[in-house]
Amino acid sequence: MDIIDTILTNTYTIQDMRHRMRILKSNLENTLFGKVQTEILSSDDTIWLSSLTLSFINYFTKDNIYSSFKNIEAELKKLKILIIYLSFEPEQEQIENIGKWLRTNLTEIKLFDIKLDPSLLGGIALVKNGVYKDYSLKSKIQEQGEMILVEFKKYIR
Amino acid sequence: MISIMPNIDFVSITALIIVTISGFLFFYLQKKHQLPSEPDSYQEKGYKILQNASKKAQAILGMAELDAIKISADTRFYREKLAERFDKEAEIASKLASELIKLNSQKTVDEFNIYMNQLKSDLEKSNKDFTDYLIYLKNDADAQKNQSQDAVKQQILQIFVKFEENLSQFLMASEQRSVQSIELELSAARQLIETYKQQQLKLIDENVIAMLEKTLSLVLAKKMSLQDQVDLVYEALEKAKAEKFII
Repeated sequence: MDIIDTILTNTYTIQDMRHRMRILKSNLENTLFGKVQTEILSSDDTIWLSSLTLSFINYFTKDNIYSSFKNIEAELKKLKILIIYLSFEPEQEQIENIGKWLRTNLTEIKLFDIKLDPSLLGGIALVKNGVYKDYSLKSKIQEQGEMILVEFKKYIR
Repeated sequence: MISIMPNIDFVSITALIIVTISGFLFFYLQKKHQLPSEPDSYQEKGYKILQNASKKAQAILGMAELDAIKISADTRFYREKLAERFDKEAEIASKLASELIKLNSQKTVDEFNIYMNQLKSDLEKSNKDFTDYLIYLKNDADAQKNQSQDAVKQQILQIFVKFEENLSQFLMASEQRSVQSIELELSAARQLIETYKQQQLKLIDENVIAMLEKTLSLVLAKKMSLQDQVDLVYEALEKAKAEKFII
């Protein structure tokens, strides 16, 4: 679906997608129904909105705007979402880079969700289809726990 | 035995008495059965008979008196003679008796002495036998007593030996059971200690790991750069892709 592909073009996280769907809907309502814009948009939001093509904007009319958004949301819900646990709070650039990497290297993952877990120490933990997999530094330490303890006990008298 | 009594004619006396009684009886019967038709003749006959009988009876009585006197005289004579003879015989008998008694007593004494001697010897023999028997009994009783004592001692000894064996076995079994029980308790205690030790060691290990993680988190937060963190993220993504967790 072109509409969804357009929305997902520069949108990588579920939070961004929800945010952009909301500002897009608000912007279209302003355009179509002449509502007064009350929300102050960030520069990134403005840039994203201005990046949208005219044909995309014209797709939405007064008659189909709500049904279209309903369909879009239904289609988006069907997408597989990868949950990524990070030990640090990433910047937008890093999120985009991760998103680009996912779309370059993977086929089934279009969106991901970022969650914060400082106990991971480093690396990431992933959740896909309800399955948790830990690729963090913490898991490596736990995997190597026996060896670490053996080494550690060498210094205990 | 010489008869010293006089020869009294008891036959005559008896005959006389019978005749007398017969006369009186006849007279009585005649009188009682007298016929009324001929009373006088029978009465006269009766008187005659009675007179004859009376005469005869008087004669007999006279003869009897004579005989009685004679007998009495003879009796007196024979009595004196018999008394004299009896005295003589008695004197002789007394002498004989005294001699006989003397002879008999001496013999009896001798026999008695012999008997007494015999009895004494028998008694001594019996006494000796009895003493021997008593000695035999005493010896036998002593022997049986000793035998019984030995048997009792032997039995007591066997009982003590058996008791000691049983006591020893019981003590050994008790000791073994106690040792087994103690070993089981010790084993359980050791196992408990080992479990506790393992749990504590595991807890310590977990604490060590937790401390290490905490230390690393503190250290890495300060020492690890954002680029290093991002590199770890891509490394993890590559690994997840390689494991086909994400495709």
